[in-house]
Amino acid sequence: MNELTKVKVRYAITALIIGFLAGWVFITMLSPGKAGNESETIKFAFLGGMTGDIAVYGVPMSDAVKLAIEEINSKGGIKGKNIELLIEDGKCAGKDAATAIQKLINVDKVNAVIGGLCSAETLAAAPIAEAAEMVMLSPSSTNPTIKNAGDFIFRNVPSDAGQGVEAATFMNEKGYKKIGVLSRNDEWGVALAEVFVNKAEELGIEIVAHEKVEPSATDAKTQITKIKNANPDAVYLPVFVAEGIIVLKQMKELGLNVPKVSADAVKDDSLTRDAGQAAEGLIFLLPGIPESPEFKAFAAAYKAKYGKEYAAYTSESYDAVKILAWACGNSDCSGKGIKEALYSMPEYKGASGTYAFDEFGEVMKGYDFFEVKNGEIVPFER
Amino acid sequence: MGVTAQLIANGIIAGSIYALVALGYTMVYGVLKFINFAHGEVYMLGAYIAWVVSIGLGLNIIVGTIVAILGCAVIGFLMEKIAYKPLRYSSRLIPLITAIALSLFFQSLALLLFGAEVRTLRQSSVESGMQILGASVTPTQIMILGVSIVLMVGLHVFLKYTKMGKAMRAVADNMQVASVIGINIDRTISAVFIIGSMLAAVGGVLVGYEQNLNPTMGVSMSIKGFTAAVVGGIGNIYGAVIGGFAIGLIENIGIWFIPSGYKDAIAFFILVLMLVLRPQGFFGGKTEEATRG
Amino acid sequence: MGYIEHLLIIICIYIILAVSLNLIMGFTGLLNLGHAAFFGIGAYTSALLTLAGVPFGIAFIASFVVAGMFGFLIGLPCLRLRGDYLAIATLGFGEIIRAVLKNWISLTRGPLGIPGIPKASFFITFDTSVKFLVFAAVIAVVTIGIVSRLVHSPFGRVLKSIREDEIAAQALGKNVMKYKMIALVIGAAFAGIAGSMYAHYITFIDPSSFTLVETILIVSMVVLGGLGSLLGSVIGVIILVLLPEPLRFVQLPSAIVAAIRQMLYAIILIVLMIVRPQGMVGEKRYKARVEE
Repeated sequence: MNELTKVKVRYAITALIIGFLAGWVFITMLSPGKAGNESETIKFAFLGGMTGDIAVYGVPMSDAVKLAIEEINSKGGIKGKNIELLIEDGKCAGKDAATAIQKLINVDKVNAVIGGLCSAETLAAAPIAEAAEMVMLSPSSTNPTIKNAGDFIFRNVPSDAGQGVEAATFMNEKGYKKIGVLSRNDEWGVALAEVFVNKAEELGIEIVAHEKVEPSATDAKTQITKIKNANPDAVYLPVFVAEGIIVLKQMKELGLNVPKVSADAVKDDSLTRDAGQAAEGLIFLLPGIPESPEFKAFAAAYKAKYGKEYAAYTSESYDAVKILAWACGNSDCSGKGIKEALYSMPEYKGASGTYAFDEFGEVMKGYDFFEVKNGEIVPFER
Repeated sequence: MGVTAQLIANGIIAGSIYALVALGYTMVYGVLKFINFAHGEVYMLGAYIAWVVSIGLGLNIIVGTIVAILGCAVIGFLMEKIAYKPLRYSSRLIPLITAIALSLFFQSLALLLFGAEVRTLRQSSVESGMQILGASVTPTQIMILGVSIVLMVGLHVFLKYTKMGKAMRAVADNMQVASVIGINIDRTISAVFIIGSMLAAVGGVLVGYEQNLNPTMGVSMSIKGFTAAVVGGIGNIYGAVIGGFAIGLIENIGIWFIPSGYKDAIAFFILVLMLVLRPQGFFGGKTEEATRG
Repeated sequence: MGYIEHLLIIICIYIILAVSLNLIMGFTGLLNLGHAAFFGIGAYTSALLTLAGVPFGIAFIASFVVAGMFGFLIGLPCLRLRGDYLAIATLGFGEIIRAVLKNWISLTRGPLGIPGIPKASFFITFDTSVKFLVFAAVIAVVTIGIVSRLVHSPFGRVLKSIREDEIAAQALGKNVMKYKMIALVIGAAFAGIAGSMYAHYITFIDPSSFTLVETILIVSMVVLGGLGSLLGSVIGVIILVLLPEPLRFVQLPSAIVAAIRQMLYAIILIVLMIVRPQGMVGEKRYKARVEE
């Protein structure tokens, strides 16, 4: 072949590859095209971070969603139709969440979305969902700004505006006058810490140190040294379990043995298993989970199906499905229908609490306190 | 004062691990003039292999470490043979992208096989630190420092006195001449990858033991590792060691003064500063190497 | 259908990023691993300005200028470095900028990101996907046009000569530093407007969109298409944006899917690099043996 032919061949191959890819996208897009409520099934989607650091939350949450859907389907589904579940990885990033929600809306034509997991996902997907009149119900995005993200945007987890205040109030009651804060450096940790610090200072507490630790960091020794040097009466730790374990261990190693209060995200089997002695005495808050029959049933079912303890936000995810299913069943299951149903929903007693949405699509909840005692996570009487 | 001592201690311990990882980078760069971005993942895989053996299968941690070392040696060897050797003479960008893609591949693999939960290699109780010269240091941390130093000394001895070690130095110095005098380039390069990977494996096990494991632990270690290598003068083994400790110290002492959110950026800042002021690192070759080559 | 439009818009934004990077890397031979930082600077500039009430048109131009300025600032210390050192230095600067975006909370809200960025509007508001797509496509085409004129001009020839043999170019009396700087600044500036477009399309930005991984993605697009080929950049973008999408449709157990997608993407890249490193339509030179 001479040079010119070679070049032509190259271009031809390139064009073929692009054509193939574009065609593949196009064809697969066209196939699952029927809207949820026209076909035999109702479609719900879970949009959350399933890879990367966040997967340690995303995967159990999607499992809880699956559990809920199975239970509903086994009882006849919604008005006789089964629920089909789609899962999209939002990667805890705006761009990916936006692409995912676009697909869920335009291609899969789902009826409702459980998600996003991370506040970044919810905030990025919200305007798109809002414009398309698609309901999003997040079981775990706690960033305060989500309150105003849209009419179609709901969450059944209280905004961190609540948790930070609660933690500060609690620590004030305990008489801690000087507090050191070590927060996870991401949208969750920073927002929560901000609320905490504002309330604490309002109550007259001095924040003697405020350090940050990167998500999944493996070494927080110098941050802890700084905090220790400021001589706090206690520390507040808005961190996830990954770096939380390191922080607790290193606090013990470095001899920072003051009372420690943390946040909901540390509730996970690995806390006691991997932090061992260092976690002893840790107190943390969790959006109140009632010791109700609904909760017990969920915890048992989750354990039976997946073989491990329920993790943070799984009961909320489970409830989110059931709430959406209720709304779908009590309406025409369109975006608007579900939205209306949610706003007018009477108190729903779920596994993670009793809910009713306010005019912003938010829920309020009390917080429960837990303590690590003798290597176990047990309820703590305030 | 106790705090200063503590910061220095923190820095030295962190630095010893950076040094181990930096050695792998610098050795590979020395012979191939190429930055193996996937090296951080070898470190991560070392930790996970040890986990599988000692926690998953319940065997002794020493056994786990040995298996990890051998496993990573194999991974390093295969990585070079399959992905890098064919690209040895391509323009520099291609192996770079391949390395980055490999890094992503290993992370996904770890995620697939082990899930994203955080794990740890040590399930015994957490120790309280002992007081040494005003700093709180645990026995484990001392062990880490000890092991790292032993390995570095061992590497020095290897490079200086063994045949393969000398061959590596020769190839790093001038590949063409080395090949002319009869050194088997392919084998030497493989050996470089194998040894670098083994060191990284130990680093991974040490960190997994002292701290914890997760599939993305290789990423930030990568950056600190090769920053350390550059600071010391990339291609220079002793420089890598010093660079490792330097980064560890500067990082830990540095965030005393600036907000701790910038901790990871410190390594980069040092990197950039070095490159701008003294690109050949502290112990590297002539300035010409780095500028307007 | 919104999904197709969405993909096309993303493609247009990445075309601008790839073409601008190609100008720096493919035509001038500078290994710039900090490109995502310019993207981010443009995005934040535009977002912050419009939220402060500045009209989009001005914010858009501002992101061009500010990103270009940063290109200049980074070029000053870095451009005299060679090869890998330049790569690492730009990488370092890129990460430092991202750390600043993440930690300078009073300015950027740090990891909380900036939600509610106003829609782009220039005489008309680009509030539907279609309208934005038209806008994006126009900008993409204009970018390609400008860069194309640049590289096919005498200026462009000097750039290529610098890429081939810097010392020779200098010996012939060309102010090498000046040419490199111009290429870097222009490349950075275009990355900046890509950032502005991204910000006003997704309406939410946070530092996690502008990481090293993002730069690597753009580099992959350029290399895949072929360094030194503008058509190649377009092709590379299309392939790498579309590639993960069909994988989205494969429904397997949840945790597995996402990890497999990432792994496949990595494998495909590796195979492409080994089998066809000059990219789809790149110049043959990239396969030849390269001297030190």
